[in-house]
Amino acid sequence: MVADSLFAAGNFFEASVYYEAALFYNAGTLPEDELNLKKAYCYKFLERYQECLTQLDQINLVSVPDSVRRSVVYEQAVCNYLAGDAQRALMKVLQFKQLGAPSAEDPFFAGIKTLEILALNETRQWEQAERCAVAFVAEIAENEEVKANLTGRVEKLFQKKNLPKELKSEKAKDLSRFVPGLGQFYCGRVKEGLVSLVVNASFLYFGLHQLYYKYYFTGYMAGLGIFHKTYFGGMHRCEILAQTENERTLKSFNASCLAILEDLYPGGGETL
Amino acid sequence: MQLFLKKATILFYLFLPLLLDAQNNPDPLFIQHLVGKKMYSEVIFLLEDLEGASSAQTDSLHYFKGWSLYSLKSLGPSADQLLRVSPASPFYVKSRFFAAYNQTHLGNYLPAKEILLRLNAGDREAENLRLFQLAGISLLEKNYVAFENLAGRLDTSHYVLHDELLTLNSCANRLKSHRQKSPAVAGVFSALVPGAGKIYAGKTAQGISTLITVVGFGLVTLENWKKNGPENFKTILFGSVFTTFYIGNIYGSVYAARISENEFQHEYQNRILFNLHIPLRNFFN
Repeated sequence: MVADSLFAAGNFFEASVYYEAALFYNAGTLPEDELNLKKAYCYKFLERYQECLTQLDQINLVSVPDSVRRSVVYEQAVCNYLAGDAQRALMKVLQFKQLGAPSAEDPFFAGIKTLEILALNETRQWEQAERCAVAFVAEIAENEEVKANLTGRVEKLFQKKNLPKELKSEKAKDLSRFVPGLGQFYCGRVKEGLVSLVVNASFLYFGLHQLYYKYYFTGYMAGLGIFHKTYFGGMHRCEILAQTENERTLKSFNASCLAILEDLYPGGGETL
Repeated sequence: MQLFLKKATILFYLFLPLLLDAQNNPDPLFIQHLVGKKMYSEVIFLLEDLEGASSAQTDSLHYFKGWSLYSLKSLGPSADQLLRVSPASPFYVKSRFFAAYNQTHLGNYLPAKEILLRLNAGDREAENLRLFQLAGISLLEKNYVAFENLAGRLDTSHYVLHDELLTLNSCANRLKSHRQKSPAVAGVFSALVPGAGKIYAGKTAQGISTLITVVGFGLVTLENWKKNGPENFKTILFGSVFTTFYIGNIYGSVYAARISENEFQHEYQNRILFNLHIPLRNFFN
């Protein structure tokens, strides 16, 4: 089949057009749901996740065989996760499980477990994510030694001290409002916090010093005026820092988590 | 799954010839289906090597390709494709109108007018629309006499054109009464009173902010000059800051006048284009 050959050769866009042609000319002979699913795969590989989800929505889950239904729900979970909607991905994982608990022999087993753990991490449900990871290790570890090793690594990763701390933008901003630089300390940027503290203190001191010696314009404009800018600029900077730091730590934590899962099931992440 | 693949392979090879006509062009029905699903990139991919003598089939394909390119905002190539649609096609009038609109949007007013002037629109409503488009192009060219002449010939009783013509008239009045902001005047104003050039250019908040900053640093310099003398480090430092801000304020005002003028022209150009587009979409959809 031309579409399948194109798909196999990695020409996903061209393959998607030919699958659409197959759907258009199909007079009820070919299973449309399977063609829709294959077209959705094309969009997934083209990283057009929303279009993939739209294509999957066209499949009537009531009328398709169990195997297709499970594939569709699995892909919906994956595409929702890759499109940045971890909450909806978890919902689809749950739906997938309701279609039949996946066993270790199931081709979707590693993918769905990995996805569930990553999505739980993204939604900061640490205890559940740890339980899920430990259960995953227990189910497919080759022997007791591997199981003990990987379980230990999972438990260590999910220790409270290693979990990404959720920084609150408002809190970071309020800390900098109280003492300039404190918000940066809260976000883990000690050097930047110190610089902010010194700069703000210098301008404030300069302003007050000039006012004390009756340099009113100098004190107000060059001292307090610039202090006003650095003070409020620092507060705004802390808000942004908290958000970017949250994204960075979560990404880093998920990378560590994925590294353990890769040791357990090589290629597990790629199956997504 | 194996069985499905086998069946699909056989059937696909059976369908494949249906995708192509005698000139190796794709089936217009399938292309129309893709356009209906807004799969424009796919249409352009399939019609990449569109060729063959003019026929009802190739006309339709040129129209679909042009329409897809227009939908993807690739206006130049879209106009090229739409102009290939022959007068025998039911898409001919629509293609000419949209080709002219694409050229207008690209600022190619002369080719746009030529397309519309050579077009025999057919019925009275289409002819009215043609005059309306020509009036809009005249306004974009700031040819107010031609605009008023064309607008006067329009029959505004049709709902598609009535409101849009009122808006075009309002744009014309505003453009005619508009006095261009001079960058030189803005610079002189800011040299005399810091920030005044920006206020003249219509950027009042920026002007007030500039006034406070420049005057503030001027006062700081003056204060240090009086108390410490001109050779004192603080006087030199704040004097330098003041000079930088003062020169920057003049330079900024010159730019503000240019930016302000560009913004005004851009806003009215977009407003006119929008008002040319709306009746086209209403008329043909």
